[in-house]
Amino acid sequence: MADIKTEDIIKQLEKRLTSFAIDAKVENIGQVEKNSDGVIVASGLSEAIMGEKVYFEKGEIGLVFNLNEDFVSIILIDRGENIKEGDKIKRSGQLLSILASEELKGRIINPLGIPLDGKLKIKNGEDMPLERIAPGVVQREPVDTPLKTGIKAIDSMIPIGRGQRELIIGDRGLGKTAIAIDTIINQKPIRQLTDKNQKPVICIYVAIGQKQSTVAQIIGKLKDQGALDYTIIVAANASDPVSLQYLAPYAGVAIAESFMQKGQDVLIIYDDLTKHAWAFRQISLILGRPAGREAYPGDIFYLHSRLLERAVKLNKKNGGGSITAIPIIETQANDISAYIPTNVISITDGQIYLQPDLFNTGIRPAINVGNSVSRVGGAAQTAAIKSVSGKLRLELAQYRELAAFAQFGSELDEATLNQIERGKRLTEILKQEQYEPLDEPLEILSIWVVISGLVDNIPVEAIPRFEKEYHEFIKTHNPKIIEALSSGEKINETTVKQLQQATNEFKKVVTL
Amino acid sequence: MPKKLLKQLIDLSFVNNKLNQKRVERIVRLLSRNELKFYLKGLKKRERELSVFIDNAMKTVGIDEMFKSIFPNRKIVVNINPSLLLGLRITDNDNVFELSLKNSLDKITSYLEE
Repeated sequence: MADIKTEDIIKQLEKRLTSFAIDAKVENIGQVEKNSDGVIVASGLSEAIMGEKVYFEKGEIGLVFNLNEDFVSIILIDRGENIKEGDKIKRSGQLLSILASEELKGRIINPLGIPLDGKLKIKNGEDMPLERIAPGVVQREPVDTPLKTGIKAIDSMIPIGRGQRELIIGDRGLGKTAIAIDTIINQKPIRQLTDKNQKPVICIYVAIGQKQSTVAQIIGKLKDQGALDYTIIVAANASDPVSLQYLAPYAGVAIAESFMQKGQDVLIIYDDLTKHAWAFRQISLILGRPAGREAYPGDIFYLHSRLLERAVKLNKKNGGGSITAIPIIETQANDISAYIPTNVISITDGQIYLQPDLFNTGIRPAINVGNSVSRVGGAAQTAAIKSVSGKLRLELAQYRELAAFAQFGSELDEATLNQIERGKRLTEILKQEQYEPLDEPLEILSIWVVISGLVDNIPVEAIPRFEKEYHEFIKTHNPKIIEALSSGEKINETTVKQLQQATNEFKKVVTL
Repeated sequence: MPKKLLKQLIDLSFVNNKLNQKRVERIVRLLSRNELKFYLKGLKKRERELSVFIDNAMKTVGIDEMFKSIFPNRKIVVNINPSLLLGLRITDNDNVFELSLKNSLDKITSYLEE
């Protein structure tokens, strides 16, 4: 290391001081009147603006949340045990913001950008405001690029496009987070190499009011799968102040916007918005705002609509970047008609509905295809998967109807029985293990082989093993088929013939 | 009594920006315990608003008169605060004007630290 001379340091300091201006300091200050439940009521601060960051005497940070005639209400972002009546409050003159840069990839931070992973503080980056108006209609373009989740049931029947907002809704413990995590894992750049037209996706996982152990588990899983390198975790855990839980999704989307402005595609997962609504309800009740339905404040809809409106697909003129939002909502006793679920359903462009009955019968992911919908994703689906998914939806719908009939035990004709058997195999093939997302060609293979009726004579229980071995067989013996399916173009007759031939060959060698 | 009315009573307790003892005594008799609490808090706040606090590093002759001309009809409260090292700190309601050596030194330190 080179020696640093004292003279050099003095010279540097002198140089810096020549550009320093000693001006009088003018401050607008306030005084703490009351400190209760993380909310400070203060007098003074007559020039404070809504959403402004303020500092307390011992460096604690607060956020101006209510401007009244005689006082200002401030929510504490730090712990506030040491704040006493009479303490001074200083204005910062800034709205709350977060530093966003490439350095954030692979990091775990809180909504203020403070690292939670014990690594160095992020000092460089673009200062992104947490609250921002979503891009207008002129800057947007329709969703046309798929965001592949690697989950057969979703990619085929409820496709998600880049720039879409797709809700995952269901009771606790049904695998909502699992779908989100699988989607992140599937964005691994190596996987996406099969499709050269696709830009890599940066993932942001926002944990709101979750147990620290759950977040640690998710981080561990992402690390094991090599997905943390392109993922940013913004965590406000259950033990963090409620204000941080409220700010977490806005911090996540602010980081996402920084990447989107550079023309990149971002996937953001809000896990979950039910807890976010709870945090906002708590703040509102403490602030004394009038309570409405289920004690939520009047602006609870705006809370989520302004957040989800920031998910966007920008047009080429504006860089062509996108933010795809996957919010998660936890229902109580399967009630999707509660206040927050209906709000978020109406804001998003579709929902993936998970049902306990399906989960308990071993169908995982427990997606209820009938109640799930993707309003814009269809346009983003490739022609290849579209050609098999149309038939899949129809066959599944018919199977559900016939299966309900068959429960009565009445005698059925052969055609109906065949349809039920096909439906059983379809249901079986759509089952998927956690953390095992599939590439699109393999998804198409699985669905095609059942729809074409080539596995009708294979027992339902043997389907999972058949699928695994079938994928391996095609990958090793018929890479051209994979190549053809990877192109995204509609499956042509030559490919169908090749597929039929390969499947028949495989059926000869496989022992089930 | 509604808070709006209590605020009016606080306004009426001052004559020419000075607290009028007779008026206060009359008002206090009419108020309940809670109203009295609010009223006293309001009086203190108004008193603070009508005062300008000058923190001076050392005793200076004639400083009161000088500031009376700058802030007419306001009560000037001068404190000696040696921690300022040199100069003044003027507190007018929630606005603080810091013209002290301590502030300059603090600013230089934080500037160099950056």
